[in-house]
Amino acid sequence: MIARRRLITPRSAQALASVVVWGTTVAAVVILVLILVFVLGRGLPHVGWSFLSRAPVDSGRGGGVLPIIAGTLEVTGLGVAVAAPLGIGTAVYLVEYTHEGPLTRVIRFGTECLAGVPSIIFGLFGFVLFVLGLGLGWSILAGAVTLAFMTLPTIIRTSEEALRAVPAAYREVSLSLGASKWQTIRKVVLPAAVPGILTGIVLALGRAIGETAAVIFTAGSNLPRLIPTSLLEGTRTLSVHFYQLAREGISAENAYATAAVLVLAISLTNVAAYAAMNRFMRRYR
Amino acid sequence: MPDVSKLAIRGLHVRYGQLRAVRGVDLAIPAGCVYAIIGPARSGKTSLLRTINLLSLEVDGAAVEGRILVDGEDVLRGDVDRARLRRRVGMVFATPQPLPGTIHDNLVYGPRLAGVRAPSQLAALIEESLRAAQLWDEVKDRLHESASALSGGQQQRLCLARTIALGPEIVLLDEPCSGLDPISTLKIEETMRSLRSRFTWVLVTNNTKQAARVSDRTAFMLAGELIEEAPTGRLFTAPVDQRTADYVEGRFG
Amino acid sequence: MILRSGVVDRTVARALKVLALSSIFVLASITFFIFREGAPLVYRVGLGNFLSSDWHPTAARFGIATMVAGSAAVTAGALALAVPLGIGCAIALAEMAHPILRRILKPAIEILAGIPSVVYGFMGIVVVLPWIRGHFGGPGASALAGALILGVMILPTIIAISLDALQAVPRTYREGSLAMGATQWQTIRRVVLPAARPGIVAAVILGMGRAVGETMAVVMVAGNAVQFPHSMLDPVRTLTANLALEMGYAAGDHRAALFATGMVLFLIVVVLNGVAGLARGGRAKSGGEARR
Repeated sequence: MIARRRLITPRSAQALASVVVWGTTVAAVVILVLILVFVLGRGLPHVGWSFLSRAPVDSGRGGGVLPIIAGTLEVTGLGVAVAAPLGIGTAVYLVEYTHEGPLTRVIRFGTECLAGVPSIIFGLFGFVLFVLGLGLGWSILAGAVTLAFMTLPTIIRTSEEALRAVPAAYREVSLSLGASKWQTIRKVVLPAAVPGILTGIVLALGRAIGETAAVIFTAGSNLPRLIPTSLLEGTRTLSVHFYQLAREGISAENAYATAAVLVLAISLTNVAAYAAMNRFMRRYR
Repeated sequence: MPDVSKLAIRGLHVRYGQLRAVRGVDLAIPAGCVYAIIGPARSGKTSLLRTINLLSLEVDGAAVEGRILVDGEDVLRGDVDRARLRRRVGMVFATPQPLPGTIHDNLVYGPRLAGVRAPSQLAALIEESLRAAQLWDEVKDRLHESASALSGGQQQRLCLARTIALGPEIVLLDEPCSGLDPISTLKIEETMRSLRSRFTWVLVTNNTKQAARVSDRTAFMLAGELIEEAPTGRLFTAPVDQRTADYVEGRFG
Repeated sequence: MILRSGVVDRTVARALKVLALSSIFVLASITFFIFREGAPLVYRVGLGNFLSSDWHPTAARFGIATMVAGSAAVTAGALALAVPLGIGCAIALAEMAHPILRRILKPAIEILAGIPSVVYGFMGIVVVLPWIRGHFGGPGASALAGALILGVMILPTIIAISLDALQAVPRTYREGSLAMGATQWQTIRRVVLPAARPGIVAAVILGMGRAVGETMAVVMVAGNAVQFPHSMLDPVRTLTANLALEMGYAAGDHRAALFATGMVLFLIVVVLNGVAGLARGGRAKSGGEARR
């Protein structure tokens, strides 16, 4: 074969490409790391036990975020607690009890779309329907139900994927050993799918904790009591608190501190999700 | 006329949508023998097998007509208890498929569902079925290790053992030795031979030599129909139908 | 207790069916509600009004064109930043990085995807706005600021999904190409990238969807002025920001117009998902199984 003389030899193209590609990687990683460093660097020094255990003072100029942490847990916890059984049950029904066809494809497309709908729209929906329409006012309940609606499509989708990833052979084998359909699901399919399902739920929880737009219009932004007496009380979550502090310029210190707590909480939930998934996978392989 | 066969198939049609996989098959399998069903790909033998324990209905979405009689009872009735049927008619699949978990878990899964709980009973069951499948010596110290750590041949013998542990009357085998090493193949064939009187074995295989080695009677299927059925010796040396002769002598396959 | 397996099975099947139908009902009701509140308004004021660039709710003018332009400017800028960086990073991680580096960075990037948007917005206020003010003058809050912040926000998404797409390309493709004497870059360019293209396209589209749907960060840095941007340095208001800013006090037709905006956003998401689905549908399922 006659070798042609080229402007850029393959070897130098390789070197050039390497440089460009690694350059973009360094840039991307540096940017992302800088953000983490920035937020944690300025925020962590102010996050101490007193910050985590006291209530805000003077609209957040001083004090801490304890009731706000509580508010966050109430709204997101309740929301995910409602969405999870509903979503997992739906996924089980879709995967195990229906055959693949136009109907299931429409449902899947619908859940994927709703998983991608901007959260502000859920906020609008929750505001008009729950806060105003049902008369709940700005409340933990309105916030939780809105978050439940928001996370439901994601949970259905991730649970469905996890269930479909279980090899068909497991089901056949279980049935042929004398198990009923429900026993097969309960003893073989669900345990094998649990890592994926749990990961999906924890990720949904992480997303809900960081959510601002949907929550600010449904749970409100009133500074909450530490222990709410009813679900109809309004509350403020960490991300809403951070938003108020940042926008109103109330206290840069506390804003950074709140951001640091937020970022840590979400990162920890994500890390926990992946660690749990890895450990389960290793046990079941 | 009283039907003394363990497993009788009458006028069986199996359809997947428009595709007719089994066309009007009549078959009678006596108790306590090894019965082979041979034929080329797409002959319907696997569809037939999977209909006997209703898997084709439940999992593959097949439509079925006809009757399948186990000890005279039709299992294609609407109200049959599928779980109980599958404990009487066990199945070993073509690809070894251990359930996730340990060797012990795999073996006790079926018996536990059937109500056997006592640890001593389960332990006896485990040893007995592993010995029957010629696997006991190799795994007796490893019962609590993961089943997927075993080799392919060992896994398939484990699948055979867990089926035996159910205490079935009939064992269906769907090309159980395809892709296995020769030693494991031999051991599985040995298991079938030695336990002939205890179970009725129905073996689907596209390995004619295996059928000749191990079975008492053989049926030849082609394109969904039963062409010929006879004691193994006669089918292989003096087949009645020309198509049987062609297949058995390797002129197509 | 040994119940006949049939009875338990049937009860469970029925219970799950109820759950599934409830979920689907819930999700459908959201869609229905948004359209029911929004569509009549478009019908009432006319498409011409709705698509004009005149947004004056008090005078019954509900033209969203300026906000569409705002969303478009910010999203386009974000993609211009995130797509080259993201795909480049994905290529490096998938093809050239040591497996250990990949195992550390991949989860790290996915964790970074979870940082709340308000934090990014604040970073924008504190870092990006002064930088723009210093280099270009003006107030700082602009489409450029929005684009930069959004670009960084969708970067982890694009990296993670492109990385998945590249890793799903069967190893045999690369081995075959290298065995024929191609360099690694030639292999990437001619074999791996084309094979991964559906997944990468899906990654970009998903990133775009995330950018279009982002609210808090753009509210904080993009300026929120209802005007057509003539350059990236002009302040803009996106469709989502409009919803957030006016929802609290809108009533009657004004509120219906906000729902109509929500409707438009919803349709954009549907279209984007449809295109992403088509792009991914071409690739056979074997991609995922090969990786397992």
